[in-house]
Amino acid sequence: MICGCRKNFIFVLLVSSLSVSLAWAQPKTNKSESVSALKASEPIHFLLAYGSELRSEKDVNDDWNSHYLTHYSLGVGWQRWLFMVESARFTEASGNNTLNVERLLEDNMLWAQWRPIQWHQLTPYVGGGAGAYRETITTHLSGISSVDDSPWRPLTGVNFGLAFEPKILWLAMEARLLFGDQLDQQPTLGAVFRAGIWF
Amino acid sequence: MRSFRFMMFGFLQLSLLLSLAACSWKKQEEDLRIGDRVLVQVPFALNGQYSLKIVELFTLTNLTELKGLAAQFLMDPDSVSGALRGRSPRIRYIRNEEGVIIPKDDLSLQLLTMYAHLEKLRNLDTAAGAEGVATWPTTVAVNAKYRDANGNSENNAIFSGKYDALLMVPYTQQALPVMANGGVVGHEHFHALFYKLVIQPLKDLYPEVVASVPHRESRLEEKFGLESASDSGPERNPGHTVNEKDLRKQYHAIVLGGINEGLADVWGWIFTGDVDLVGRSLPSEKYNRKLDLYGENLKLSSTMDIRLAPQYNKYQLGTQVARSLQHFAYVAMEQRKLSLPETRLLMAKWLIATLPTLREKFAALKDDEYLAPSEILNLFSAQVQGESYAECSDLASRIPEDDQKKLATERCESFNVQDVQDKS
Repeated sequence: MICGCRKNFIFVLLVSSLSVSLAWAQPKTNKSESVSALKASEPIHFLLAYGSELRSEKDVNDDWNSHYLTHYSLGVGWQRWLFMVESARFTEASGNNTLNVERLLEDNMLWAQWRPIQWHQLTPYVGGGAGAYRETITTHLSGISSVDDSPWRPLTGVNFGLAFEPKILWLAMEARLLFGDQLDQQPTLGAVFRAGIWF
Repeated sequence: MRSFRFMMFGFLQLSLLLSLAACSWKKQEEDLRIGDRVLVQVPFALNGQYSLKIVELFTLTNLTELKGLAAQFLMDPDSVSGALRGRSPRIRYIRNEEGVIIPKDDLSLQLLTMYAHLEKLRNLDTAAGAEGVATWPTTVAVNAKYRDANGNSENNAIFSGKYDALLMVPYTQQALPVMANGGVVGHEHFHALFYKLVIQPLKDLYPEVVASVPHRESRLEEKFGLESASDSGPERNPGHTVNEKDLRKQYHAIVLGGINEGLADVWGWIFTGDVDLVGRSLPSEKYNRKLDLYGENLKLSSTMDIRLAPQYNKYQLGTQVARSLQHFAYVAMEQRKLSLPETRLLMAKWLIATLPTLREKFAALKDDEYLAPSEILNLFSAQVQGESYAECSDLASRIPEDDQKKLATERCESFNVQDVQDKS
């Protein structure tokens, strides 16, 4: 079995095609006031953001399970681009007093977002990212613990979202698909809400 | 400027392509062959002490779905046309730097632990001469909805002869979960051996006994899942007049059930070395079931003890049998100058050899005969190769006076004479 994600293939292809076609479209000079292309002469922006991600995985019973991840992001925006270094993590625990398991997942990614237009301070974007993730499992048995790490493993993703950028405030929400070697769910789905300052 | 744009779009395209490629990533453990070595870290007992151990598995064919020669797991199963149906689990795990499989959550850990125990039990069957007796892979129903008089059953494990499966009901206590308890898994696996070697062949002779063995709750197993077929286990009802034939059937249901429970406890101890195998998961049973709580005066209940006690509990007899045999193992270890693991393996061989003789003894009973509970010790003793006087008399000392203790003691005296002659 490959991963049974034919629909996701189609989705990724659509996103990919969209980004390609948008990328090679020449910027238009006569846009209306309400829908405008971001200007090439715009200065570099910096972004500091904090976010929360709702990430869905399937559990051992094959049921969907949601986790909340904490995100910290640093970004640089220039022209139609926003590059963001993002660090995310979450923990979960299961079991009883005698036998229990704690899981820590950390991922670090570099995202490139392409922001073709702006409309009333709303900026839609699509993007792609690459990075790595690692999981640390702590197993407790009757008070004795064993800590095991996975190696850092490659992680890639695609996303699309909408940012709201009034003055220095920056708010965004996005959906993403993550693909990773040894991920339990291929792809893993996520919804991210972020708030930051943009200057 | 244009080169910058090329570069940026290149990154975007690269991440998209990597994502596409990643869609084909899969865990390498999904396609294993029998004999492939998989290292897992699970709670495992070594000489009675549980710790997290790295265990080698060789029978897995699919680690994620936990399929292999030792077990197949059915999650939240239903009973459909007399067979269990359920989906396979999806084990969540990482591989650490050394390539060892580490489960990510407690249920994955418990399932993997149970698989490891069953694979090792399969090896023990072979070493003890019971290869091909139990059905492999063992069907394990996880989170089985199992109703008894008090509602849904919890904190238990049941071997079902009807389904030829282990039914694991939810565990809600704070001790070692039943699925991670090798002693309890070994105990339940022994019920499968007992069923195949003793109960099933007796089925036509004593249908009521079959219904009440191996667990009292198994009378309710028809209610497991959807349908109830029969609930014919004998009940002790002091206020109800029953004839001698019914009483005899009830008596034998308790004796055979008690022997089954006792030998299953011994098998759990043989497998793990854990004398507290039941109490480790069910602390309330610690005193009732611990195997090394014996004294010099430990004796099995007599035939009359059971016949005259309307509420006699088969687990009471079971613990007496288990403690007697566990004590015997230490005597044998000392007599034969063996290590404890070596002795436990010998015990396993003798136990397996005893089961067909128990079946034959039971089948040969006349209509007015009662099988004495202590008969199991005589039958076991007969299988102990090179039995010494000390070994024989240790078993004989557990037999009540009114259940032919004299005969057993006299038999041991013949060993004593032999021992003296050998030494001289």
